Amino acid sequence: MWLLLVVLALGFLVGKLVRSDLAKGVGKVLSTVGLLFLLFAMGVRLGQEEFLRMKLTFFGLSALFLAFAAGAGAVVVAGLVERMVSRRKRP
Amino acid sequence: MIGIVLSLGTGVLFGFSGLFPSAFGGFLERWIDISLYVLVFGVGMELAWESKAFEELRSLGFRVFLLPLAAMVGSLLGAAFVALCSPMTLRECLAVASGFGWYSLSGVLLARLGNPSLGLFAFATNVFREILALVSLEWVYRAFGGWAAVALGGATSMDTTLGVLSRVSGGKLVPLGVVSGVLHSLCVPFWVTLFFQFL
Repeated sequence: MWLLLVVLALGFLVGKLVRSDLAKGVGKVLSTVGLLFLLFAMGVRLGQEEFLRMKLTFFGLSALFLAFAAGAGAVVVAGLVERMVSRRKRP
Repeated sequence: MIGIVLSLGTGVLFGFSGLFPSAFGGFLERWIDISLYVLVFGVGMELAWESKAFEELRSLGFRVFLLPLAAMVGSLLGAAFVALCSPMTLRECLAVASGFGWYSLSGVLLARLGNPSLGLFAFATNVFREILALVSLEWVYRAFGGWAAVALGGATSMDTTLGVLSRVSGGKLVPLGVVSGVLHSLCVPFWVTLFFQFL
C-alpha cells in the first residue's frame, strides 16, 4: 500500500518537472495502458482460480447479491452525505 | 468503459480456457504489480497539473474523512439488509462485506480466523464488488456524483479503480480516492476480525 503511495508521489513530482500538456498526455497514456494490462492480468488470474470456478455455482448468486447490496449501500449513503456537505458549503 | 469490460473479459477467457499457462503464475503476479505501478505513476503525472483536485480536498478539510466513513457505514447497512432476507447470519454478512473489495486480505483473514468456507465466500464477494465497481463506476459517477463513485470502489479506490476514477472525473476525484482507499484498507483487518470474533 505504502509503495503505491510512493509511486503516486513520484509520478506527481515527475509531472511537475515537465510541461503541463506533456505531463497530462504521457500520464494519460501510462494510466490507460497500465489499467488495460492490469485488468487483463486480473481477468487471467480470476479465470485460472480453480476453486473459485468450482464453488461459484454453489455460492455465486449469494456472493453477487452481497457484493451488490454492499456497493449500493455505500453509493447511497456517500451520495447523501455529499449532498449534505455541499449544501453546508453554500453561503 | 468498453475497454475495461473487454480487457477483463478477454483475461477471464484466457485464464479459463488455459491459453495462459498456470505455470506462469509468478510472471502474472509481477505483471499485475508492474501494471499497477505504471497506472498509479501515470495518474500521479496527470494529477500534477490538476489544481481542481487539490482545491476540492482543501475546501473539504476534515470533512474529507466523512466520505470513507459514509462508504463503510453504507456497505455495512447493505450487508445487514442481505442478512435480513437470506439464510446467512448478520455476523457472516458484516464480516464478509467489511472486506470492502479487498478480496485477497478478507478471504485469507476469515480462513485464518477459522472458517475457510466463509473465507472463500468473502473472496468471491469482494472480487464481485471490485468488478462491479470497475464496470459501473462511470454510470454511478454520472447518476449519483463523485463521492458515490469513490465509495463504490471501497478499498480499491486507491489502486485498481483509481485509473477509472481519474478518467471519469478528469483527475478531480484522485485525491479523494486515495484518502478513501487508504482508510478503507487500514480498517479492513479491524472490521473483519471484530465482526467475526465478537459479534
